[in-house]
Parts: sequence; structure tokens; C-alpha cells
Amino acid sequence: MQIEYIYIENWRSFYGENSFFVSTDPEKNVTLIRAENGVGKTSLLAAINWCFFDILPSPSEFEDPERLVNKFAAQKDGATTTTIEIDFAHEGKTYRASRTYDQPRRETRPLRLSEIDNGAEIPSSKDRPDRFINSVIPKEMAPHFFFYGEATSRYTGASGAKKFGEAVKGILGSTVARMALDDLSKAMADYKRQASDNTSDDARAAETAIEKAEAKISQYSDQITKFDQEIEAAEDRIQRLNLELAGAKPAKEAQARRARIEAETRLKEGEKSKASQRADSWMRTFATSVLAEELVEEAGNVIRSEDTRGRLPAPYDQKFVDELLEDEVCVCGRPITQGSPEYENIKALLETAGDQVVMSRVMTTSTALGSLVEKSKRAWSDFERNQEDLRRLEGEIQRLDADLQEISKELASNPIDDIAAKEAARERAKDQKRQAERQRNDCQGSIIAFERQKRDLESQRDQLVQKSEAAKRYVRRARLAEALTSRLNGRLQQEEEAARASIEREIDAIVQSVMRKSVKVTLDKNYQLKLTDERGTEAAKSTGENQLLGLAFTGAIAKFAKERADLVDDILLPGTIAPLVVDSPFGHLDPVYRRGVAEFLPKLASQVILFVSTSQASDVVMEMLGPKIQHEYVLTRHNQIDGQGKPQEHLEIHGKTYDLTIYNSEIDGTRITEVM
Amino acid sequence: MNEAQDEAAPSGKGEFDPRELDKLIRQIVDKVRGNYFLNGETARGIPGEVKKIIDNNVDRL
Repeated sequence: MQIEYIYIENWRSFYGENSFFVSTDPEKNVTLIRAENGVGKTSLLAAINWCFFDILPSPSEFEDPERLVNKFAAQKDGATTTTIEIDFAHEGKTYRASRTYDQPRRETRPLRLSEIDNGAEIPSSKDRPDRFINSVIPKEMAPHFFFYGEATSRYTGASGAKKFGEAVKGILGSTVARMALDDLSKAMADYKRQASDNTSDDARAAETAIEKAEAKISQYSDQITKFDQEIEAAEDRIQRLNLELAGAKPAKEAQARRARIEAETRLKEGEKSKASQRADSWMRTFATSVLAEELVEEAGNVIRSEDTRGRLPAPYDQKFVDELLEDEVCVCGRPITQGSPEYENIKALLETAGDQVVMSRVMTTSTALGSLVEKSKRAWSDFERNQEDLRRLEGEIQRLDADLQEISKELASNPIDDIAAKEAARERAKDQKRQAERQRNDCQGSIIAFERQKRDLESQRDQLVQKSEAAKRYVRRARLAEALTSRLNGRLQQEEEAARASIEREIDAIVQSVMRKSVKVTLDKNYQLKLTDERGTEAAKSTGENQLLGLAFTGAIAKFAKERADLVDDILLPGTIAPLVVDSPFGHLDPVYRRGVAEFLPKLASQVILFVSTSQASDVVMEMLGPKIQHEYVLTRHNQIDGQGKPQEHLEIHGKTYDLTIYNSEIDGTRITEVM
Repeated sequence: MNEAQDEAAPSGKGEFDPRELDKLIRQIVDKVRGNYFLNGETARGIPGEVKKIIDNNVDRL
């Protein structure tokens, strides 16, 4: 898909008819939109998502979602509807997607699709335009191209890994396969129920108990989803407040200190988690040798005492003595006649001769005992070391926590009300996060208990059902459903792993070309995006580096989707080619990184729409970006009110002046002006 | 999915031929995809259709 033109009529803050062309030249694929805060960037992005998919941003980012018609147009012109039209090219044809909202009726009209042929609009033959749009840009991939919110906040925060994971799965187009997995699981449960119904009362009772346990698990899982959302929302609030505090001069230094200490705390928490893992692993490795210490010693004594009596190990073995007696010739060559005293003497050796099997067992036991003794010698020193590491790390984390509390107190008592209020809000968000985490853990514990109960019941039911002839046909079907689930799941995991590895390589390539540190990027199996130095140690990331990584990730998934656009696969949806919309990509970057980002951004997708504020469109950015821009616009905010001494804001571009804010205007709302 | 991937892919439960499982998976995902394009992500599941595919093939496998 290539967007050519966007038309918006009385949409949110945009008054009247506004439209703009999107750059379609492959050599100049950037559309630059300059906009200051609060003039309608989010609204403009929302217009694209709403027109195509009838999706609006979350209420926290988009107040009053039922008032989509521009207020001034409603008052002055009596406007009751708002319309968005998007012209786009796809597989050699040009289409117009259009959607209208009727405010008095609070009704979103269905998506209309028409074909543009030689400038004429003819109704499209597609009977379901929404299905067609979904096949052009699958709904699950769209949020990764038309993302709400600034690039800075895209994949940062503690929930970053979750967002990375969701993005990789979304861009892979696995929704349909996951729906198939759900259906398979329901089919399997159905077969099992039918099998129980055809077995006995006991089996039916077990089945009912399993269903109850499943209902509980599902109930707790829903609660976990709710708590996850609360945790994520709290993290976003903390993140936003962190940025606001970092931007407020009197709090800047304390916030920077806090960011450093928090980064250090995260590292220490990571080390502590590794130390805990080592302690767990100690238990698995050494528990037997430590618990069996006395037994090992006793067994060793037995073997050694037998050994002293000349039996274990025996000086000669049974097979050797048997062969001498059978051949009737001694090793020295003298004959051994049956019944002779020599024969009888040699025969008597059989009493103490060792059997090879017994000998081998003794040797194995002896070796095993030896290794247990060795292990037990090492066990206590390893135990002490692990405990010491844990104690040290806990102490360090406590110290860092105390420092963080001090900073918080310092900010909370700041004489500037705004800072104290922000800090208080941050503390509230942290409390809410902690509370949600506790409740989440409780739910997780309940789920583990119910799952154990469910497994026991399942095993009981399966044993009963296996014996029933009448249930046989359902058991076989349930087994096939299980095999299909396992196969499909395994294939999906392989695809996800391949996608993860490919995206990791791409991010690394982008980062290598821009970042000044010598680091390697890893996107691990839990979708944690890390920077590691030459020694493999994780490097702390600055805000700017986080932003750079987020952008690199955005680019990597857009490229991955593009490469898979023509994919024919039996379980995955093909990828897509779509314009990438990036808001404020240069926020926290220094000039060198800004230059690097401005250089790689146009390469990320076939079309790139960038929203930048005046301060972000610095000389270094424009120097790199300029040759790539085909269309450039300014969003101008018109206010009917008097500015009360506020300065008129304007921009000088190519020798011409463009207004950013106008007071005493005849209208109230935002207008789009093209930069000529 | 090509031959090489087929060999490397997880075999599911050992009692069934992985290639046969893949054929059934294709049929099931085709059905679900149709439902997805018709009714979107929030579509109700179609376990009944999935069961029909399993019923029709279980004896053959």
C-alpha cells in the first residue's frame, strides 16, 4: 500500500477542509509535518487509523472520543459530521477509503471504498471494504506503522519487552494460526468431555471438576490481564513523569541521578536474579551428595574393608580360573590333571575369584561414590559463595533503594509546587504498580495451585477413559487434536524464533551504523532488548540510546513486514508494505545521533511520515533529511482569542514565513499549510 | 512450508505422521482464515468446523 493523499473535514482540532499529499517518490519518500505540541498530531494519526479500521487511541491519549466533529465548525457552521478520505495505491490500482461520523447520532458509518480511475471515483466491486483493507494492512500490523504517542515512549519502560514481543508476533501475522490453536483446544476439550460421558460416573465427575478448575484458571488469568494493564499504565505514567521531571530545570539534576541509580538497581536486580538461579542450581547439583554424605562414607568403608580381605576387587577373575581348569594347562605350561592336588588347589581359587559383572558394578559404584565425595567437598564452598553473593547484592540494592527514597523526598519537598506534585503523582503511580504486582503474584499462585489440581484430575480421568471401549473413538480424536495443537504450536514457535533473530540482526545493523559505543544488540528469547560490550557485559542505556533502539526496532519490523509482503504460507498472513508514521523521532538525541537517525529513517519504509517540532527540525536534521522530502507541511493553530501578550510563533523555511500560532483569528482550530 | 523445514519442524505427538498433520493444519487454518476475514479478530471461534475436519480424517490417520 502507498498512501497518496489524505483529506480531513472538520476532524477534531482541524477546522474545515484540510488535505495533504503524501510523498510517493521512492527517492524522496519523506513527508515532513512540522507541528508544536497540542495542535493535532495525535488527531491526524488517529484519522488514518480510524478511517481504515475504526480504531481510536485509548481514552488517556484521546479525550472525549465521542466528540469527533470540530467544535468550532459545529458552532459556527452547524457541522454535524466529520469525514476522512484516504487515497492509496495497491497492486496497480488507486482506491479511496472514506469514513464518516455522525455526531448527533453518535454513529460511525461503515467504511466506503471506491476506485479512482482517470480522476473519476467509481464504487469498488469489493463487497466488504473492511475485509479488503484488512488484507492490504492486517489490523494486527497497523499499530506498528501508525503508532500513537512519541517515538521516545514507544518501546521503553519495564513493559518494553512485552511490547517488543507483541510487535514481533503481530508483524509475523500469526493471528489466524493462534485462532486455530484456540479452536483446536476447544475441540480437544469437547472430545475429552465426550470420552468421559461415555466412560463412567467417576470419569464424568473428574471431567466436571476439571471444568471447574479451568474456569478458575481462566478467571485468574483475566484478573492477571487486568493487573498487567494496570502495571503497564502505571509504568507509562512513571515514564511520562520521569520525562517531565527531567525536563524541569530545578528537578533535572535529581531526576538524572535517579535515572542513574535506577539503571544501577536494574543491573543489580539482574545479578541477584542470576545469583538466585545459581542457588537453585546448587540445590539440584549438590543436594544428593550433601544429603547422602553419611551413606557415601559408609558404602566407601564397606568396599574398602572387602578390598582388604582380598575379595573386592579380586586379584583374579572367575573366567580366567575356569579357562585354566578347562584347558588343564597352567600358565607356566605344566599340565593340571583333573583330580590332582594342583587341580583342586586351582579350583579352590574360584571361591575368591571375581565375577566380571560384579566387578564392573563395584567399579561403577566406587566411581559414583568417588564423584559424590568430590561433589560434597565442593558443595559447601559453592554454597557459601552463592550466599555471600546474594547477601552482597541484597545489601547493594537496599543501599540504592535508600538513595532513591532520598531523591524522592528531596523532590517532594521542592518549593516549586509543580515539581512536588509531579513527584507525589510519581510515588502514587509506583504504589499502584506495586499493589497491582502483588495482586498479580497472588493470582499467579492460585493459577499454579489450580493447574496442579487440574493435572491430577486429568490423569485420573485419562486412566479411567483409557479402559473404556465406548470412549475409544473420542480418545483417538482427542489425541489427534492434541498432536495437531503441538505441531502447530511448534511451527509457530519456530517462525517466531526466526522472526526474532532476523529483527535482532536488523536492529544490530542499524545500531552499528549510528551508535558511537562499540556494542552489540541482542533481542533475547524473552524479547529483552540489550546492549552488550565486547566482554559480553550488559551496558546501561541512556534515554537517547533507548530512543535510538526503539526507532531501530520500529524500522526493523517495518522492513521485516516489507520482505514478507509476497509471502505465501499455509499458517501465517503475508507481511505488508505501509507508510511508517513516526512522531518526534529526535526528542532525546544529541546532534550525532540525530544525524544518524535522520539518515536511516527514510530507509525504514517505502513511505515515511515524520512529525517534528521546531526544536527537533535542527540544521543537522534538515541537512540529512532535506534531500529526502517531497512534501512538507506546517500545522498552524488558529485562536479567536487575544494572545494576551503571548508571542506569535512562526517559522522561516526557504526564506518564507509560516505561522505556527495565530491569535485574534477568525477561526478556532488547526489548519494544514503546505511549505512551498 | 518446504521439505527442509518439514524435517526440522516439531513432529507433534509421535503416533501421527507430521506430513499428514501439516495437511490437516492447512485445512484448519484455511477455515479459520476464512472466518477471520469474514468476521475479524473478534469472531467467535469455529471449533465445530475444526472437529469436522478431525472426524473426517481420524480413521485415515
